[in-house]
Amino acid sequence: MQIMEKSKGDIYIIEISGRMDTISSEEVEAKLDSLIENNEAKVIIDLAAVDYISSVGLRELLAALKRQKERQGSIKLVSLQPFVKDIFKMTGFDKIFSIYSTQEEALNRYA
Amino acid sequence: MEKHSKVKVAARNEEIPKITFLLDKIMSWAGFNGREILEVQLAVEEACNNIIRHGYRGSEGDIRVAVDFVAGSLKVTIEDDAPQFDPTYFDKPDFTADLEKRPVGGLGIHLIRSMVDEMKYELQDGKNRLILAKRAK
Repeated sequence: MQIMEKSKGDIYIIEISGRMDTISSEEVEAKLDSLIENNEAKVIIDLAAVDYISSVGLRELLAALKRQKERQGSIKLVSLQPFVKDIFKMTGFDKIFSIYSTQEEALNRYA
Repeated sequence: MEKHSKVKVAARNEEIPKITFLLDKIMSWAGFNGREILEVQLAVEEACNNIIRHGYRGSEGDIRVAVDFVAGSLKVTIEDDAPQFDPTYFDKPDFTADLEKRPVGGLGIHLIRSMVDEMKYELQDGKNRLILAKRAK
């Protein structure tokens, strides 16, 4: 699991690669926690290189989204791969998150 | 063409990859595609998670996994010594509930059920035994 970070203006982008399973999701949780603590209101999470997500990964994302909403912030997810996309549909997470095909699309929505 | 393999791990999160690695090896050998391998790995990770979190609740214990490929079908038997717990008893959680009201539990069990063709629970000599089956397409 690898996490790359960058920012464009006031938008913070994190790109995750690897599996979001029981162990690696802790890293994602720590990263999201620090972003939220730093009051980054606009966050994009790019999942283009994530081919697997378990319920632990889903819960970390949901917990982060709830905290963001409490602070009037938001999280947009982009580039969900087929298996991950199906897991989101199956669990109703596709209705909770704002999901876009590409980073550009999500950036435009924030603009 | 058949194959049988077993692995015993301590009930700790960091041990789960040993099981997913074994599944990858046997399922690739048996001709399952990448997607099917991910599905079974997910079902088994969720089952192990439940055992670690809700079964043993942090105390020491073992998880024993048997993987059998026979007659075009994969059977994964997951056994533990934690208190009796039948995941097949749980219904699908209410995914229509809004963000704040969403139940935290039940997600893993729903995923297990969705990823495999068959999910069966047995209490065998006081041990929990979850049997998951996936047919090769």
